[in-house]
Amino acid sequence: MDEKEYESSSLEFSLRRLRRFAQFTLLWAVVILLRLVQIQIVRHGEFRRLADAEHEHLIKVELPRGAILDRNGQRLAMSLPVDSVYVNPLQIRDAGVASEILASILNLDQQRLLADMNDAMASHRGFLWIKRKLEPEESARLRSLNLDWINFQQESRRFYPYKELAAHVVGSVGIDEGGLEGVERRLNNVLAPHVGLVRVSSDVRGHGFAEEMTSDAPQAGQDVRLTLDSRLQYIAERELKRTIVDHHCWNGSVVAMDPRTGEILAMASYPTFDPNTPPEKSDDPKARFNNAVSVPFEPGSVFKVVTLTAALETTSIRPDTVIPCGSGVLHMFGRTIHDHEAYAALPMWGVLAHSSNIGAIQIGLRVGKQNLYDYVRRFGFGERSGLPLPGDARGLVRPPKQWQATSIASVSMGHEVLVTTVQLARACSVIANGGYLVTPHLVMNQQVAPPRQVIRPETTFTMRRMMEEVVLVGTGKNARLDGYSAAGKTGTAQIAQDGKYTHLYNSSFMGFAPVANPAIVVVVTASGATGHDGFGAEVSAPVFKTLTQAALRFMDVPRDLPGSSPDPDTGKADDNDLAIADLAPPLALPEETSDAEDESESQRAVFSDNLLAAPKVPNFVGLSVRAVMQEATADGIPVMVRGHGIARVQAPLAGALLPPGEKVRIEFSD
Amino acid sequence: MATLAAIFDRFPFARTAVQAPAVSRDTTGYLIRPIANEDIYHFVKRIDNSRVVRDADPRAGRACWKVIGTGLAGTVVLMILMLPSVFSLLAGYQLQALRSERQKLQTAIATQELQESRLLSPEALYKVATEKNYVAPTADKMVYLEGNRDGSRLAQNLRQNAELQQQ
Repeated sequence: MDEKEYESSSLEFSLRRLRRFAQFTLLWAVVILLRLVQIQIVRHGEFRRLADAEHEHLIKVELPRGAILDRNGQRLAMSLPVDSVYVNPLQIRDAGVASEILASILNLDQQRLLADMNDAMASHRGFLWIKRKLEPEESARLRSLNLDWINFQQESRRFYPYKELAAHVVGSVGIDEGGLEGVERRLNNVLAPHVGLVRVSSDVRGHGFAEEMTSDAPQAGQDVRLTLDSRLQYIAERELKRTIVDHHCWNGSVVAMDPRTGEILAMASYPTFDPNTPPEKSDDPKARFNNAVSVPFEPGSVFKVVTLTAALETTSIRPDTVIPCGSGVLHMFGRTIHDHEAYAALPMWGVLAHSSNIGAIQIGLRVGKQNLYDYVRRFGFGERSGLPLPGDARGLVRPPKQWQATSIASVSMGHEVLVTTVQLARACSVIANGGYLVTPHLVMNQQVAPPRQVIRPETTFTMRRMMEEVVLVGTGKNARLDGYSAAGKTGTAQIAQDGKYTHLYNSSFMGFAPVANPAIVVVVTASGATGHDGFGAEVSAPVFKTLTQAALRFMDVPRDLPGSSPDPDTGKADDNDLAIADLAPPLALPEETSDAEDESESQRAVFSDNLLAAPKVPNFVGLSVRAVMQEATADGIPVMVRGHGIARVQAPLAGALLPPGEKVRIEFSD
Repeated sequence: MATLAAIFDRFPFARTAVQAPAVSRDTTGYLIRPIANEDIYHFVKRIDNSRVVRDADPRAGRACWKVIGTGLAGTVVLMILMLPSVFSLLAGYQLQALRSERQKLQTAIATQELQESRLLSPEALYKVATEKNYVAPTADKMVYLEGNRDGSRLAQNLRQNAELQQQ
């Protein structure tokens, strides 16, 4: 083999090897390509998900709950993001020191905290809430310690900057910001935010660099603007508290309403509570009842307005018609009835001004059962007010066929009917606005049923004049305003306890001002007063005066009287407007028939006798769902559970009496 | 299996090595049998390139610059193509930082609003008013101007007063 041949064969051999190498490389490339096809196309979705999981995270975003504002835009309730603090007990080196640090800053019981930590350590639990929803100052102090075993989580917290102001209307929320009472509960679907998901892309250090809304986007809760005026609300609550404390009453309520629109300008109830503070076991559950809408009572003499209106509409009786009052004695139904004053006869306006019971009975007898009942219903009694508040009571107006022989006399004086303060305000608005029954409402710009004419306008003008006489010369002198004309009616009704009427009174006053063109209706009721100082003229009329006087100033209503009115007479002889109560046994509020609308309502109307017969609520806090259900079933107590884990909050509180038909609401959380 | 040495053996330059004198081709019995072509490793050819002058190759230079230019252009194009993504990423970081800052500011504003509401509560104002001995005006102390509420009557009065003063 010569050199050329050798080179040729060598080159051929090399080329063959290179060809094989190229074929091998090509094959390798094909394999890689196939693998790429498998990864990029066939299993694209799977690997995409795996890749996304590495750097994309779905984050639950909860925007703040809507604020509750008064009519002037003042915040009555608002939500803020705040810190909650938790620890990992397994990381704590010295539980004693840790509990001392935390307890001193967060105002907690150190021994209890230490016990909780030791329990958690013993059960190898790696998570323990120390305190949820801290005050900003507490959070700042704790963060400044910079301790690695203290962890924070941001949560939304509801604040009520005006504290007790309008607490019964605004209501409160639970630990997870679900509405528990008041507007917070009834308008929860409007106020509550929609918790949504946001897709966040982050780098290896966890720093986000892209954010994308999912189809389930978060939405903030809507603000709710109430018709309340916080200034009037404050005065109403302040004056109500003052009169209740001064006259040793149990409870009371005030409603101020615009008679033309039905807007509630103020709604106060006493006793009250601070919605910022979670309910404690030792709290009086009655403090959370909204007496203005939930607690019906026998109105007494204020109801004579209805009787006299019915008389003007259905009989020939006019304001100057003389009504025989039998010198304070009336024989009927086989018994003798005594009036508080021995009037021989009074004109119709005098019956109202001096609150003569016998005069009202005589007028009621002229009106007749059916007409009287018809007019009671025309004024809106016996139906719910429609306000977005739990426990909106219907009251009680029995149909005439259920009336006893004495019922017409009792109803004429405001007994044998149960009404609420807001119902009285609505009825008074009928007189004040020219005969229209308005729909009370609490939310601004809310679409409500249009007012309907229930009384002739001329009748209401006559009634206004007669009610003005009550204030000028009758039992309502304490309600006279400076610079404004006012009209109203006092009322004092005996309270029934244990099936008998007592000498404790429901003292009330309902009125409006100015008389010619009323701008505001105010109704004041207080329960539990006694003695001469417990009459409506003494207890409730002064509250009306202070509140109405301030309201007219705030509302820029020009005065309609030349100067300051003279001080009312100090003599108390004409203050007595006590309605005769014992013509029939006291009424008890019957079990209200629940309809679909009221299924969700747990705060039912309560009446003292019914409440006493109710079962006591056990303490469910700290129990699991199963344990709660077992205990509730054993005790026959209906419960409404929410969430899962351990029971954290319950309403009503343990030890409270559960009114018939009400459920115990229990919130669970992990 | 061809070894590397065998492959070299097939190349022409390797053959010259074969012809090189054997250095240790001793066949004495006590020595290990020589490894095939082991002497190739002991062959050293001294080459003196000091007098070699490299020919100028303008084509190779152009090709080289072309490659460099193409590479650079490709890199620039790639960078330009990637620029929006990079800016988008950087903007994303900035956006997230701004969002976080906005959240903090909103919380701060809400905290201030809460504080403002607490200070402006009717109870707080009433307390301040009581401390400063303020009283609510009585009905006879209040003057309601006739006409529109925008103070047109007040403006008229002021104008009249000004005219009187000028006269």
